[in-house]
Amino acid sequence: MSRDLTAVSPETAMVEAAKTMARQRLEGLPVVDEEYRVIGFISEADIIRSIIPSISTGGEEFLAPVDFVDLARKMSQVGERTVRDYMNEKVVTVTEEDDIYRLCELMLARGYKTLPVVKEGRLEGVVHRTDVSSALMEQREAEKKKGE
Amino acid sequence: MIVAVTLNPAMDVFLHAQKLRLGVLNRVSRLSAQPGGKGINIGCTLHRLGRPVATTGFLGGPTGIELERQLREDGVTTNFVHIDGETRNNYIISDDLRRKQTQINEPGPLVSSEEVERLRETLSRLLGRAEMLVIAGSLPPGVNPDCCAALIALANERDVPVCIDMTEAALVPALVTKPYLVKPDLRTAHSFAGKSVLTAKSRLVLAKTLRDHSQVAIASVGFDFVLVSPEGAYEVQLPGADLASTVRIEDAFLAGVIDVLLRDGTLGEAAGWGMATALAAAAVRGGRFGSIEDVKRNLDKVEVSEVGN
Repeated sequence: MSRDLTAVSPETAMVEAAKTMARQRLEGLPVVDEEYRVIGFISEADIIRSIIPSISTGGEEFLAPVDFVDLARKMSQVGERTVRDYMNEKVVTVTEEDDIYRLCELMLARGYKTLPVVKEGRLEGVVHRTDVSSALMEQREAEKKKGE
Repeated sequence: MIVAVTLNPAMDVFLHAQKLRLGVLNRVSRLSAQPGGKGINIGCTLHRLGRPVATTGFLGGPTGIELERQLREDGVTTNFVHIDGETRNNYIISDDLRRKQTQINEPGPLVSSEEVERLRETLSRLLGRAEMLVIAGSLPPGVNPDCCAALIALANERDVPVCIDMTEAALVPALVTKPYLVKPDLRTAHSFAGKSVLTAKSRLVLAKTLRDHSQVAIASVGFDFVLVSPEGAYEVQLPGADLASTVRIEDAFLAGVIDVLLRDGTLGEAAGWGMATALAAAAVRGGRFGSIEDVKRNLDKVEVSEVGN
């Protein structure tokens, strides 16, 4: 787990959310209220989808044909709108007590790359997919050393 | 949780040379880099003393990302505003033969008014879970002293006590906010309000003057500290010791003082624990001691004197 409280509020402009993700090399951000209660999540994918619409067909998503003039206009419009308009309110969170298998299930089976860690609903940190893969490797090394 | 604000953090780069010579090429035998900046140093020390700490301020570029990574690896919670500019490096050059340290500090990145506003929003949220706000260190270019006073006002709105350790230019405008604890940063200016603070008596006078605007005031030059509060006035000096490091001693002292004041200890206890913490920092290269046990071992080396109030 990474004890990082970096988050955005529902009123944060999308352009600011995108800049925060880019500067800190994050794939998504928890959306919190004034008391740090996690009320949503905004990801890079949400930002891209907000600008470039996709077409779902046969269970797969494809990008719609893009008009680049229209794209620039759309980027400008979306940038000024707030996170509230694009965030996913059905946010999945974990606690410090959740074990690695629960995290693996959420990340592999359901595709989450970042999960907010909460205590009584308030943000305590985040866990990234890289944290889970590192922990699994460390466990493997520890088991290997035990066996030697 | 203690929220520690560092407006101008730095990656402290420690370079060790056998004998530093000016005007020629020097090769270092060892180097290391650690997160630095007064607020971060105070926060990391409080974390080692067992206090939950969240650090915030401005970070930027690859140096900022690495600094943040090291803080998290140390178990310190982070919530920095990442800016367009690059976090600075400070260089601490140890001449191992002469046992002297020379510090060279970069000024820091330019911070925009939009970035200051983002910090204001971040701090406003953090203060909801804060038991104390510590704001310490230099101001980066672009951040004027009134900005500090505005950040402190946020804490006052939430009844969160504030400790300030800053230079005169940033500290004086903040006095009107009536902070809980005030400590002027006198490392490079051995005067305050035009008056010298090189004698113990002058530091006592300064601390008493600052106490008119706060609950607790601390004045120090070198490693001699005077503390004043409604309880009384105390003096404590770093005992003559073989110091591995002289950087971060002041910050460790303040962290120790804050630790005691938060558990409603007396000012005399705070002075003693502050100095024991400073000694623990001075015993380790880089000033980051291992644990609270390192501090407890120093208590019997410390002598605190009560002075006339």
